[in-house]
Amino acid sequence: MMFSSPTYVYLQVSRKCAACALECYAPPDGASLSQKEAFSLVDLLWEAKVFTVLIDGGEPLLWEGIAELVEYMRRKPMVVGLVSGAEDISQAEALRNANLNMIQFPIEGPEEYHDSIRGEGSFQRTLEAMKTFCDLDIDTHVGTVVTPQNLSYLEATSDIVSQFSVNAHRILRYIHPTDYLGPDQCMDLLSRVYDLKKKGRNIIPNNCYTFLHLTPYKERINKNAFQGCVGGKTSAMITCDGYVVPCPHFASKPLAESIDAPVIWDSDLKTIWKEWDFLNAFRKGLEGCQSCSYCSLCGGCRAAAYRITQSLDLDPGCPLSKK
Amino acid sequence: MIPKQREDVICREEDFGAIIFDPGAGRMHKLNKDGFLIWSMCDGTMDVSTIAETLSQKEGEELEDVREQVDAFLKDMDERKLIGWL
Repeated sequence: MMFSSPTYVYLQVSRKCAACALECYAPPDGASLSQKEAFSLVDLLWEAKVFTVLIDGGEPLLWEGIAELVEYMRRKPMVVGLVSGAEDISQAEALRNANLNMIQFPIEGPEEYHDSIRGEGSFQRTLEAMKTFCDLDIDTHVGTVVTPQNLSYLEATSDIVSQFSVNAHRILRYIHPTDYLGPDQCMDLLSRVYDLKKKGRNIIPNNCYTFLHLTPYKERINKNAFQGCVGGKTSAMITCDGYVVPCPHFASKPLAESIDAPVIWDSDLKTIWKEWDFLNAFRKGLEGCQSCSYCSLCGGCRAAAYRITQSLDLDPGCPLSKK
Repeated sequence: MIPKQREDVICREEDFGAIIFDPGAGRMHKLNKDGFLIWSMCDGTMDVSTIAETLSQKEGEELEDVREQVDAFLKDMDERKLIGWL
């Protein structure tokens, strides 16, 4: 079942943020969408009947006119979420008035570890942001990027998050050429996430752990709804340079250019979605997964494969990749 | 009873049928081709019997079978609050 265009798009408004110690998928380089480009993109997305948009960065809360953009999208009426680093929450009330549906903030671990990644004072600033948005009744989520360095802090991080009325604690996968979780670490992580879930924690591994069905967490998966990687199936990302890429892990300019990503201003979204060779290969699943009986369910994390092996061959984090 | 699509929901036609987006709930619902055909007839001008008869003639299937299919589909759409009744 192939959709005629994505139903869900990540829109990167800028790559401006306070640089952090994690080598993220969109290192800050100062690039940004103009307001005119952003509003025009929203019109293009709505014309293609894209229903849900997640505004990403950089730090979207530093983008001038962010509340006006959210309000414009909500009036379409799109569902709008925003991924923030909690660098500036002065627009919180304006975002509530704009009817923002959801916001996500990062907690990388306990205070000392978090600040070592995101800068002195960042942990307390993030807690204040979480409280502010929860108090404004905006659906607030927390994202934790799990690396080999903070893997041991999972339970402590969950304890911190559980003190707030956030609706989801998302466990995100660190996609990096060398510093990534191997199969045994992924299994350990997802077993512990499952244990926390059993304790009643609202903790959710994201879809980049495409092999969830091979871990103890499989008991919590809705088998009728689980899709593994959704890049190229239901979602895509548009970077602030206008590149259309399969997922946020390709949101830097060099990575977008390395896959010859088409530019949204040069072609329409439906044509790109249907005809771009890389995206067609992406949605089929990894080469090394084609003979796996789980391929249609999973297909591996294409971004992990690409970042680590520079190809769409094999996801080195998958437990079956060891065989 | 005349079924009518909720005015604020948005339909996107697809090769497999359609996606119905409910902006209030922020949810999407997939319809197969048969479901999309019935959905298209829920424009507030046809009652359930007329929809079933139209579909039966179009598909060349027994009216009784089609009526069951239409009733089940409309019950599902009603439970999902995607249609109202005139």
